[in-house]
Amino acid sequence: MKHKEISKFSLFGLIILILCYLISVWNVIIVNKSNIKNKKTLTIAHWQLELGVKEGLNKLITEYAKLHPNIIIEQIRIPQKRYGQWRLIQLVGENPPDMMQTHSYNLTLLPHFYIPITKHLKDPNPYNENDHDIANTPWRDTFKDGLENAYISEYLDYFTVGLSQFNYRCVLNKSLYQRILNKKTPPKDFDELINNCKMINLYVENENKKIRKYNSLHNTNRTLIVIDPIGASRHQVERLDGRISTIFTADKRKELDFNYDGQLSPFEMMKALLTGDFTLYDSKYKASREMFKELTQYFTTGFMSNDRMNTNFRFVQGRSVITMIGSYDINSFLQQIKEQPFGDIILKIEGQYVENAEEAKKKLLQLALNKQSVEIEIKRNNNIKRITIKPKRGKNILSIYGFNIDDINNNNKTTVPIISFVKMYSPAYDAGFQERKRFETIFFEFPFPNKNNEKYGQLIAGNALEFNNTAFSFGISKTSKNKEIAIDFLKFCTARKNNEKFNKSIKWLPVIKRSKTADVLKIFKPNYNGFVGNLNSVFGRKESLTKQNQLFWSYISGDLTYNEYANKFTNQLAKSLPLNLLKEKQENTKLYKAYMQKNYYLSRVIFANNNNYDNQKKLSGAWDAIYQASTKNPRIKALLQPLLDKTPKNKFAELFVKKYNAIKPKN
Amino acid sequence: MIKPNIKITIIICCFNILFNAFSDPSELIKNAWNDYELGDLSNALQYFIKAEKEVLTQGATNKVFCEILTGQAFCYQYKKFDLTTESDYFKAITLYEKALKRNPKEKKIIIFLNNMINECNYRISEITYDEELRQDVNNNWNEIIQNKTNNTILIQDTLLSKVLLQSDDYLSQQCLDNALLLEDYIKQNNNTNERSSMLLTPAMAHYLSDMWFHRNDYKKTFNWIVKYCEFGPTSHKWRNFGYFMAANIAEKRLFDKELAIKYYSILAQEKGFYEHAYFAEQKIKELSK
Repeated sequence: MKHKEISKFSLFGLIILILCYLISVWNVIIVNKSNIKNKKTLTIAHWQLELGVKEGLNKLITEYAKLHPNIIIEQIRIPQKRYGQWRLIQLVGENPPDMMQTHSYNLTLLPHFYIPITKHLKDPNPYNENDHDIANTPWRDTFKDGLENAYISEYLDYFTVGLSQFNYRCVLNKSLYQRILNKKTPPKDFDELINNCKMINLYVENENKKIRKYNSLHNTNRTLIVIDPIGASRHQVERLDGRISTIFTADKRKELDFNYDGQLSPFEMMKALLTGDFTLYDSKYKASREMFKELTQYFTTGFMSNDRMNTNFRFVQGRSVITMIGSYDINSFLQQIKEQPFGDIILKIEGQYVENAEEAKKKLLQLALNKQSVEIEIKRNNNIKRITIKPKRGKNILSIYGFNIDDINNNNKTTVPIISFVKMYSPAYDAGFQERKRFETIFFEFPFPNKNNEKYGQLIAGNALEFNNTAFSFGISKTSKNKEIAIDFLKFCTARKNNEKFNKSIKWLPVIKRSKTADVLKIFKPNYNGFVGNLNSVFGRKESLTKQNQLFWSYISGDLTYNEYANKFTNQLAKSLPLNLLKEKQENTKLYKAYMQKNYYLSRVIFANNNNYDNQKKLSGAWDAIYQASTKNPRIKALLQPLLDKTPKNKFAELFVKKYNAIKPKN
Repeated sequence: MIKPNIKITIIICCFNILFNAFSDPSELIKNAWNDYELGDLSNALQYFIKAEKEVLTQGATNKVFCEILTGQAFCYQYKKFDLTTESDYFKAITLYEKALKRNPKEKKIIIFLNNMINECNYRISEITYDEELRQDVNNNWNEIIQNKTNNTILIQDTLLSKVLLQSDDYLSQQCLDNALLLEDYIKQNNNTNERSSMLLTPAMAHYLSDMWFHRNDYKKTFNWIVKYCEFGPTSHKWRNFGYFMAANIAEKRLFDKELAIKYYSILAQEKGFYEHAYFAEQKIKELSK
């Protein structure tokens, strides 16, 4: 039998196949030798792409790996905008990372996809063993906020643990602030802030007048300058609005809290509106709205359509003097400022070296008297340039040349003379000088009005509390095969010394009691001396709030006066609140859910073979939830029925009761 | 053409039967409770039904059987929340009765199942406005409550069911009678040394403080909210809530400055943890003047 010869082509294929096989065998041997197959991999997903977070977390991972060499931890970083969708796909696909960043209030996801960690929080964190003051403290109580916000009442459990805290402060562009206002310190009170804002607007207006004049005289098209006194977006506005409302109305809210439980329910607000104990013309409420409106006049135009990043970017570019920033942005923010152009360094004037701003100014003033043009040698982005400038008549450097010179610290810690400012309509601008864009910053607390304020002082309740919950929180996936490792890693990350080190490296606020904060963040430490709660968002359900927003922004934009706003909103509330009331009375889903849960824990107590104290405790909590839900109607009845039976004599009550009687079920 | 191979078919069938025969009922029950806890009652019901079939073929203790039937009944009872119909409740009752017929040995299971039937019957009486049925349920509840040999948690559970299912109007006589029943129970059992036996008293005290508040009896409101703090709280998060109410009621309704300062002082120590700690601090200064 004649055998068919193997073709060269087939032989080549066979050789490739054998080679691949040998490489695979080699790989397997390598893997076995390096013990990778004995290692467990823990995956962590988060959306914090801010500068330094990845590196900070990696440092923690490296430290953890020293203690647990058989564990590999990998980070998965997903942009925040895509994170929600991505996470859902991972969770539904039952192949999620072991640990995922999550919000503690995400009720629909937490109990379905994450394990409860309550039992772990009751034991001390073993990684704190050398910190004697907290060595025996339950893990939960080592957190600054006691993880108050991480407890999910509906499920009677904790699901997340966080690594950082966040807070907000104001920041100002020192160069711009100093140039426009000739001041070195941030505003001490609200009046000074408003005056500063007015001065900034006036400065911009005057400068633009000069530019317009220059343009028309020289037939040029120089761009007008845009500098916002306060750079703001929806992000900043939401935070400011709540705090402003609190400093005015926190005490009024307590006054209207009829049952003294520390909360103002929509029904207590209804009672107050019906009795006339509260109206939208209330002096404190009105002042809070007016003050907010006063402030918005100095915000970036169209601030509600701006986003946070855009506002930060405008500030970095010197287009706003003050803005409000979250501590989580600090690292990226300061880095962006550092990356701005350093400015033109003056090396020589008319061929002679100059050492500092004083010398440069002196020389330039002398030359301006005699010469028609001056040659200045500058260093810009490591390039040497010679620029010729024609001085004008004037009293000082700025009026003669159109620029300012200041001594600035160079990287090697010596000072150099820098062109710190160039006027738009000046010989310096015509000659092509570029001003310094890099600037120093000052962080400060927003100067809310206090009791000494002439206009608002008498209506102020006090400071607003900064109660910052633990954030950058992680939950552990139910399908994870490394649950115990994940818990242990969370304990490691929240041991005081590790948490301190981690947060210091990324310039965030640590979460563990008595831990040290990075110097730059000391100003961000939350202020616990303040009141909580305000009269925003207490006017009922979503529909009422949507209408409230529409009318409020019409008031802010100037389309409505305060009285028009209050009048329209009162009428709107009189129509929508009776509907809210009926819906609330008829809605019992929460109650049935509470019974469903109670019976679950009761059945656990009855049928489980071991007498589990956790189930008994949860049974007790579930009954408390039933109590809350099942006494809603008797509470509403006791609170509002007398007012519905005998209508108080005010316009709101009359409209409310009329509407309520028209829509209530006839039986 | 492929001819069907009888031998292979038989082998596959046997494997299938064997595989199904060894489905673990305890795993099915665990999955069912897991889905139930997460609110996926349709899935939970499927698991419970499957588990029932399994234990019928494999056999199980009466306790396990009762647990499976209870799970199924729960699903009918709560699947539609407040839209649950009379027939759903009847289905649930049938399942509880079926469980009772298995003669569970433990008395607590019998009381538990009867209690569940009572809850269903009470809901039916609400739907059908059947006063007679409601009275029967009340009698059954009273019987369980009065028998002191019963499991204490079940007595407390029954008491709370009776009181909270019938608390439409704080100002009604029925609400007052029920409240007195709760008060009696707590007073009689307050001296017990076993803390765990008074497990459900925080919810009772909470209810009583709220009811007396709306009946304008602030002394009783204060006493019961303080009791709530003593017995409870039901979770770590609520530890300050009762003290806040106690301090406010002492100050604003009882006009007892000293008492108010006592409770505000507890709250003031919680600065950084409790949102009203600064308020409490200010109150102490104001009341100490």
